[in-house]
Amino acid sequence: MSLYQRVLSEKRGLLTVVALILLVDIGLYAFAVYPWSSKLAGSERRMASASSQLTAVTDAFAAASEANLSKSLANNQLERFYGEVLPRDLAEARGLFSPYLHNLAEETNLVLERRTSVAEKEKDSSLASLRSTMVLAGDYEDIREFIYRLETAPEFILIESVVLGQGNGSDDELVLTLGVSTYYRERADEGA
Amino acid sequence: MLRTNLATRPFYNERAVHLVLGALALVGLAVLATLALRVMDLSERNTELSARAEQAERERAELSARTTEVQGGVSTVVLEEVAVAAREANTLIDQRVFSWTQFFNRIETTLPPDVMVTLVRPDIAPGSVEVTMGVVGRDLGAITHFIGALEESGAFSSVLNQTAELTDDDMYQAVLRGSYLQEDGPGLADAPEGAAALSDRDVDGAPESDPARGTPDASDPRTAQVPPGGGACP
Repeated sequence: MSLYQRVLSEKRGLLTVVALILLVDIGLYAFAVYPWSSKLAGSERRMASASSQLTAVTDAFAAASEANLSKSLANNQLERFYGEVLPRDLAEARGLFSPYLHNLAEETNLVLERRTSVAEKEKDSSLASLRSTMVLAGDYEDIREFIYRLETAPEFILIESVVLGQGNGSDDELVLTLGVSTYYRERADEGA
Repeated sequence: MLRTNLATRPFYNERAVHLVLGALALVGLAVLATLALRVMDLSERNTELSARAEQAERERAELSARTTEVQGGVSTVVLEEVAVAAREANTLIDQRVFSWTQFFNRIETTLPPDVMVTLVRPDIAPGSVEVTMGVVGRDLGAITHFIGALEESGAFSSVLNQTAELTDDDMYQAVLRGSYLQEDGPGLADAPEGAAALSDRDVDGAPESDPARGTPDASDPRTAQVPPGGGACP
């Protein structure tokens, strides 16, 4: 019997205990540590996926909320614009041109020679426009005064075009052909 | 002297064997303890991560439902309608704040004595104002000089003499078109979401009393020196 066999034989008990300890180590790694590590990796992937999805949904929610807020804000502003700034209807729009513009012309010493108006529905819009072409005669200074007062007045009147020509009267007299317009919200019952 | 080994079991170093086996056992036990601790740690972390993932998934589902609800109240069609209406309102406001007084003041500083402005028509779009002007001049050189003066003033750019023709009065009648640069012009922002641009504007519509714009005080029309149409031309 060799020395090696003799040691194995004589220390069998002690060797068995050591071998058992090592076997338990291997078993613990194989059946507990490794599966739990895999499970943890899976949980980490799940967590990462849930986090990114949550971020995406949070962004989508923020965008939807912002769009909703923007829409509400725009609606409020539009309602205010339609209700407080623009004439409410054709009658009110008509009133801006006559007597308001007539009076303004008189106050600035201009003679209203001719006026034509047309109301029409704007394409793809809830607004309708009332356009007028006015032919006014007077001095240049008075024409400038008229335009100045018209554009600084609170009434919502747009100057669309200005055509100046020499009048037939005195040398200083000019003829102003002024294209003006205003807008109002057309109600369904008003029709075209 | 007796030289023969009479022992039935020859000697070997048992202490060394015990030492090696003891060391192996200790290492094995240490590894065992480490593995046990690792298992506990992994289990704890896994439980915690699973709970957090479940919480995140619950939140996502909840938020997703709320998003759907909010999105339901803001349909693309409605949003587009509001955006179109806001753009339209912004364009009107931009047209309203266009200062004719300032425009005339700037024209008057550049108008040569032998040129007369007969027509002015601005086309106001978000971000740009294109102005069409009808002018009458004694000769084409005077009109060209006027175009140069307009561009040099910084108030206009890209001015083009679109048409020019000789009238019965031996005058040249021309149509000029160019970009007008307002000193404090209309807001350039469009209404991408229908709200922002409109809310930035003066919804009251009337131009503010801003001297820089040539509105009240600083630009009293009575300060005008050379009237368009009142120049040297007949």
